[in-house]
Amino acid sequence: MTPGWGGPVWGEPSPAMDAPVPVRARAAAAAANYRADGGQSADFIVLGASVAGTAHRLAGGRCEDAYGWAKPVPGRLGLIVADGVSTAGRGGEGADLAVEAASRYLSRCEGWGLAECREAVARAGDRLTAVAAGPVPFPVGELATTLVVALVASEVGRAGAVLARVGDSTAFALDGGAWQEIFVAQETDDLRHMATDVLPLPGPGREELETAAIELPRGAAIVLVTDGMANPLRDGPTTVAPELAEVLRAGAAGQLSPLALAAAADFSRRGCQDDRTIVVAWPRPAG
Amino acid sequence: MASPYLGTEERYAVFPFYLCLDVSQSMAGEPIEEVNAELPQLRAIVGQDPAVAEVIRFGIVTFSDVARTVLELADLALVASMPRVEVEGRTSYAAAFDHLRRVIEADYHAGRAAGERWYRPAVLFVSDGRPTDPEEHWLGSHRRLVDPAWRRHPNILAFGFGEAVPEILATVAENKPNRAYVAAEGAAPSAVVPELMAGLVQSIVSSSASAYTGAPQLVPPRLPNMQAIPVDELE
Repeated sequence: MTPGWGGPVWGEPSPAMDAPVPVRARAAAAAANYRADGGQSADFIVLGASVAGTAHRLAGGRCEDAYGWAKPVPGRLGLIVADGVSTAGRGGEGADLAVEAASRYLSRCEGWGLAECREAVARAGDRLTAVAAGPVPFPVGELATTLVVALVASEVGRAGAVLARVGDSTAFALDGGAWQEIFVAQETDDLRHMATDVLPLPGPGREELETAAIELPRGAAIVLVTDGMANPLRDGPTTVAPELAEVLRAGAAGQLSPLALAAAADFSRRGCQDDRTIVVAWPRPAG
Repeated sequence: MASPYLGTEERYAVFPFYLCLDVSQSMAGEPIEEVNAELPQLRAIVGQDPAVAEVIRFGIVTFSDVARTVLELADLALVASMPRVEVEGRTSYAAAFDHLRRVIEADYHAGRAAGERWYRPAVLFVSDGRPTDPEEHWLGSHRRLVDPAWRRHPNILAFGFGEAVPEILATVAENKPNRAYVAAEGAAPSAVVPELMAGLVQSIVSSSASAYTGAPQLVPPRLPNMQAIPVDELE
């Protein structure tokens, strides 16, 4: 094991990646600093990975991102990514709860459109509120997390997705090495936005969520990420963007393992020390 | 599919901090000596922590009758030694604010050309006295510095001791809660300045950590012997 566990270097390297990672005071598999999963079926290939950023690793903290998916019936795949707000106190726990609640709803819902997508986000917010109001109540803001949900449909001759989100986790389409951000970018000037611009769960109501829809060309992937991955992707058009696209090219052919995706997500780049999560799916429409 | 939102050039996020330090005559003796004793410690703590130094850029501006840059905005890991600051003349807040606006604008464009993406800059304003320039003069300069229409307008933390006036410090910090602090009346500079400098370091380190973990913000320092100046809430 390398001292800082660093993956590939994409851009200027991060010196913090070279520092040895201390043993955490307490650890459990469910809150591991590396998490990865994936699988293939007739209608989808899906891979997901979360890695703790060096900021959390060096401070003995956990990865506060979470991901999940739900595949209720053939042709439908729900993807979910959450980024617990570190300053909230229990943001990592909030991210886990939100993903679990959204995943549970999507595994049972009847329809597969924007209404269900909004409802999945709302159910996650409801879950956070309920947990905070439990036997020992605490401010629900301590569980603050971002959440992005995509309902992907793979049908005869076409594939597409509807999405809803709260906060700055986002989604891209990847087609032949070209990235397209699906939500309209939040940045309106040249300065990186500050924390007050993030509106995490529990927050807006069902009708106030930011939504989007996209048709996916044959062979294209839909990629959900937290900002720890999205920011270097936006800022690395000649490093992170093509390198990650190249890694995912193998995934489109079913030749990428979840562990390899996690290792790639752990790239070294100066100033990028946030937790990183990526969930990617390739629809395989029939016909 | 071309993306209208992805960048077209490599960029690296940096969080700029400007220490804006009063070096008027009232800082002579113990206060200025304490500042000079503490600056190397600030460089060591911020510059030697790779997780912090990766993103923090730090510069020092002093002001009296005039304002000047004594440390250009820099990666403290690459700064060999901190400058010694010297006592000068009167206390022109206008000179400080006008200089800061020019410096921030110039540094931003230099950083932009070098591939930096900035978090909103932070100004750590430290004064031991009241402004000696006319009120309308320094207020006008302050308005230009914090003008929301100017995209690079900084967030300001203001700290005062000695003859500093709480109401004026609150104005400097735009009357935002937990942005202006004042030492107890009569507190010795030998005690105030080290605590203040330690607080500034803590603010910088915590702010850099917030940037790494996805919720960047200017984190106010914990200063047990200084009081946050209360700010009225507007209805």
